[in-house]
Amino acid sequence: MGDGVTFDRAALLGAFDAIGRAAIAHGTMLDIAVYGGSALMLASNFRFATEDVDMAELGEPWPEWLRAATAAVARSEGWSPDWLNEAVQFHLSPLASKAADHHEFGSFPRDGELGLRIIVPSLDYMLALKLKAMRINDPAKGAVELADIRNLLRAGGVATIEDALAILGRFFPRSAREPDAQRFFLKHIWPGEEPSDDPPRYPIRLP
Amino acid sequence: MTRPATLSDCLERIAGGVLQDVAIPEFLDAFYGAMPFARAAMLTQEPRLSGDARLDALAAAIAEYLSKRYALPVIPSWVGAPGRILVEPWFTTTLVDDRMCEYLAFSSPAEFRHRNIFTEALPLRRASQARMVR
Repeated sequence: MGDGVTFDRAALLGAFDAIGRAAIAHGTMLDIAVYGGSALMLASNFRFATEDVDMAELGEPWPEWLRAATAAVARSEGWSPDWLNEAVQFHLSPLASKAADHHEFGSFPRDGELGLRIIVPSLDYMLALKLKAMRINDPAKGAVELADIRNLLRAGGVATIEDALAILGRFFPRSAREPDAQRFFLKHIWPGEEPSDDPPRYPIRLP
Repeated sequence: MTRPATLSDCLERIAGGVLQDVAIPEFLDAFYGAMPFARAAMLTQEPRLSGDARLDALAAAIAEYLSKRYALPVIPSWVGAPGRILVEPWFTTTLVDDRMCEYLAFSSPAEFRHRNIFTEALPLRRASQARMVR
């Protein structure tokens, strides 16, 4: 991850295989919900890199086997020790339902029994998270954030700015109560018609 | 390779070909995840000038902004060095739009604005910041 080259989709899928195998070896099965750039990298056709993996809190201390498995992946791939982290939890919506607002992306290892199931947020929930943060003018990541929002709007067929604000309000009602800033930004970034042979799609399940 | 340990390391990685939108977030994750006493040292060493005027000014803005925002004991002296202020304004948006530029001119924090960088009110946000407040 550190050199900006190896933390791509294939490497991340391999890391999940390793964690899935570790879960099986310890006689258990784990669900992990991932968000942000990592979820888009895994389950969209428009995002190809990220810096880390944001996951929801497991709700309990990490079992030792999981710590050991993520540390082993970090060592073998040259990634930071906290490549899989729960920092995003602070930004998640308490109104999001695990069942209705998330989709299964895939199960791991890909070649065996089930040890790890990766879950990603629904398109609406992902869009709401992006609209709430609205980091489109950030000097480091603004262009990527802008592209993510435009692609999600297209992928979801969101028709109007008010529809987008309604999606924001479903998950973050306080942000939607004073939506002037989001409305201002949305007016400026609203995607135009862009015919494409490969229109943006999300979420795409692992085959 | 793990995350860049200092802002100077981050700029070296960019000079080595790592994309700016990868290297800077990685540095920010390292900074936000560091123990408070360790943060000042992550900004102390002056990154060498890259030849990219925007990047050189941005590095200084980042160092000064983080120093003040996290009440570090010192602001690195190099942030005021020649070559750390842009001659031409830079609006950190890909949107060519007068109203957006006007908004950024109004919202940009002083550490960016006085270097002629016009950005959002809370730049450099990362999920990893949440670890500090929880």
